[in-house]
Amino acid sequence: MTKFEIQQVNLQDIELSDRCYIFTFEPLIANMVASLRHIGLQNPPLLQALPGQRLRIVSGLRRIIALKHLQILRFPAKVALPPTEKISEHLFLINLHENLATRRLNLIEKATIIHKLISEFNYSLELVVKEILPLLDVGSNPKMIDRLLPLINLEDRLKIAVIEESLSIDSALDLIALPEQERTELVKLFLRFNFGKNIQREFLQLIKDISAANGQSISSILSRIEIQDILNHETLTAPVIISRLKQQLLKWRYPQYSQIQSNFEEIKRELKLPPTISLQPPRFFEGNKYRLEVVFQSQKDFSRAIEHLNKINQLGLIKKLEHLI
Amino acid sequence: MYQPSQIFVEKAALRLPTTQNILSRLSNLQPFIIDDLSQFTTSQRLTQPDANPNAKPLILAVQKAEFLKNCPGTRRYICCGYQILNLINNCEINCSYCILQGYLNNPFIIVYVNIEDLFAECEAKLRKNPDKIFRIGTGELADSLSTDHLTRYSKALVRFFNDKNNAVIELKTKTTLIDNFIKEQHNRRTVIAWSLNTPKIIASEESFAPTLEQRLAAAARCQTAGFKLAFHFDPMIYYNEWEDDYQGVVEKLFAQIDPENIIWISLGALRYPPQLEKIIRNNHPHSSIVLGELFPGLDEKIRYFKPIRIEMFRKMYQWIKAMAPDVFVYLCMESSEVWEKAFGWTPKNSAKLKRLMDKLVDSINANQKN
Ligand code: SF4
Repeated sequence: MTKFEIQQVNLQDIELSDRCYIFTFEPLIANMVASLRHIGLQNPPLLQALPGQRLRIVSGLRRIIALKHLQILRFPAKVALPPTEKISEHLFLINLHENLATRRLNLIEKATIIHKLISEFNYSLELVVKEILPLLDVGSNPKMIDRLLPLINLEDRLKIAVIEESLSIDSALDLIALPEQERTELVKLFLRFNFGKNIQREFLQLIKDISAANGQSISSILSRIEIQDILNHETLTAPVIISRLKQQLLKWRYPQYSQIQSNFEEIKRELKLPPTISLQPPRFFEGNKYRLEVVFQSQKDFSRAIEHLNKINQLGLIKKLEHLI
Repeated sequence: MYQPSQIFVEKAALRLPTTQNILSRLSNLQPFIIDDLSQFTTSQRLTQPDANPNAKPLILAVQKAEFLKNCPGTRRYICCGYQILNLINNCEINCSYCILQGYLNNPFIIVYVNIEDLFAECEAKLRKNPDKIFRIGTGELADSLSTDHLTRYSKALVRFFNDKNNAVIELKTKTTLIDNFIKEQHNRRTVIAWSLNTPKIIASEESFAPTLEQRLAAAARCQTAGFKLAFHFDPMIYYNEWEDDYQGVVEKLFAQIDPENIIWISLGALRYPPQLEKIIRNNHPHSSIVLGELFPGLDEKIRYFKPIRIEMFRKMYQWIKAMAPDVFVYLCMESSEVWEKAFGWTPKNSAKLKRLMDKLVDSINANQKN
C-alpha cells in the first residue's frame, strides 16, 4: 500500500531526467518563478521514493524547475512510500486528476498522457477510448488517438506552435513525415507570415506534391528564385506574400492549367471589358461554354454594353477564346 | 495467383455445388459459416489499408439481387450502354487507381455461387429481348478471371454464351488465367479483353498483376483459339515518358495480335470519385498518379485537365489507327467535344455509341453466317 509523507527533500536527490509520470508540456516557467518568489511554495510537489534515497517526480515538475532556477535546494515535498523502482498507475492517475482539476491541458500533454497509459500502463485502445478520451475532453472517436499520438514526436518548437495554435494538428501531422530541415523551414515560413490553418494545409499539400512530382526536396523548391523574390520583396504585406506564394505553387503544380488560365486572363485583358460585363470560363476549362454576364440599369447602359460587345465581336477575340480550350 | 487467407460461407450458399467445388480447391482452409453476407461485411469494415491484398479473405454467398444490370456510366459524358453481371465483388490485384477501394469498404472478395440463377436470369432476359444486343461484362466490380482458378466460372460462361445470338460476354482481365476456358467451344460469343498499360505503370500501380508481355502472350493464345479479343487502355496515366511508353505498348500489341481479331479497343484516362484521392494517398503512398493535373469534371469525378486528355487520346488513336486502320476505338466516359478533338469524329451521344458497338456484335453473326 502506498502511503504519503510530507518530508523536506534535497533537490540533488531528485532524478530530474526521470519523466515516467510527467506529461507536462509548458516549457515557459517565468510565471512560476515569479509566483514562487512572491508567495513561496504553497503546494509541495509529489515525489515517489526510489531505493537509495533517490526521488522520482510524480507531479510538480515546473515547480521543481523553478525552485532550481531560484537556487532553492531544499524544500518540502509529499513523498510516496515505500521506496520502489516500480512505476505506479495509481500515482500517475493522481497526477492526471490533480492537473485536470487545476488547469486546462494542452494537446501535447493529452497526447503524452495517452501514450503513457498505453505504453507504460498497458491500457487497451478500447479503455483509452472509453475512459480517457472523454476525461481529456477530446471526444470519443478512436481516430483521435491516431491523430494525437504522433504529436509527441514533434520537436519542442513545433509542439509550442501547436499549443499556441499557430500550427494546426493536421499540418503538424503532415510535417512529421518530412525531414527535419524541411520541417523547420516550413514552420519558420508559416510563423513568419502568420499563415492561417487552412492555407498551411493547402500550402503543404501543394509543395509536397510538387516535390514528389519533380523529385526535388522541399528545401530546394523554397530556394527557387521565384519564391525567394516573393519572400524578399520589401513592400508586400503578409497576406499578399501568402497569396503570391500560393499562386506560384499552383503554377508549378498545375502548369498546363495555369498556362491556359493565364492565356484566358490575357484575352480578357484584350477585351477591355467594362465593370458591367463579366466573363467566366468553364469550370477548370472542362466544359466548352463561356458565361458572359451584363449588368445594366438603363437603356443607355444596355446600349453601351451592346456596343462594346459588338466591338469585341469584330476584333476576332471570341475566336481566340474558342480556340483556347 | 490469388490465395485467400480465410474462407467464409454464407449459410444459404453452403449446399450449392459451386460452393462445394470451390471448397474442395481450398481444402487447406477451414470454412467459417456466416448467417448473412451484408450483416457480416458491415461488421468488418476496413479502417486500415489492406495489409495483404493478395490474400484477401474470400466469401461465398448467394446473390439475392439481380445479376444483370446496366452499367451506371457517368452523367454528362458519353457511355457505351454496357451491361454488367454482378458475379464477383472486389479484387486482389491491388491497383492504386482501383475505384473499388472507395466503393467496397471491406477486405473481402465476394463470389456469388448461385450461378444457376445467373444463367436462368440471363436466359430469360435475352429471350425476352431478342432484338436487343447485350454486351455484358463481369469485370466492372472485379477482375473477370483473377479468381477463376477457384471458381472456373469462365468455362461455364463461355459455354452459356456459345449459342446466344443477341449477346456477347466480355471477360475483362489483367491476368493470364485462360486455361479453364481456352478449349471450350465459344462461337465467338465470348470476348476476352485485357487491360493494358505501360510497363512502368504496371510495375508501379498494378502490384499483383502479370506483366505486359505475359498479358499479350495470353491474348495471343486466345487469338489462336479463335476468340474475339478486346483491349482497354484504361486508365491511361500521364507522365513524362508517356508517349514513348504507350506507343511502345501499341507496337507490342500489334506485333502479336491481328487487328482482325479485335472487336474493340477502348481508351480512358485516369478518373476517380473525389473521395478516392485520400484513399489512394493513404493505401498507396508511393504512387504518383494523384500528382497529375487532375480536376473535377462535369460529373464531379476527378479527371485530367481536358487538353491533356485530348492530347493523350489523339496520339493513341493515331498510333493505333496507323497499325490497325479498321479497328474500332472508343472513349470511355468522355464528352462529345473530347471525341471530336481527339478522334476527329464523335458518336454525339450514348445511344449512338451503343448502336455502333452493337453493330460490331452483329458483325460477328454476319461473319459466322458467311
Ligand atoms: S484489376 Fe481491376 S478490379 Fe482489380 S484492383 Fe485492378 S482495377 Fe481494381
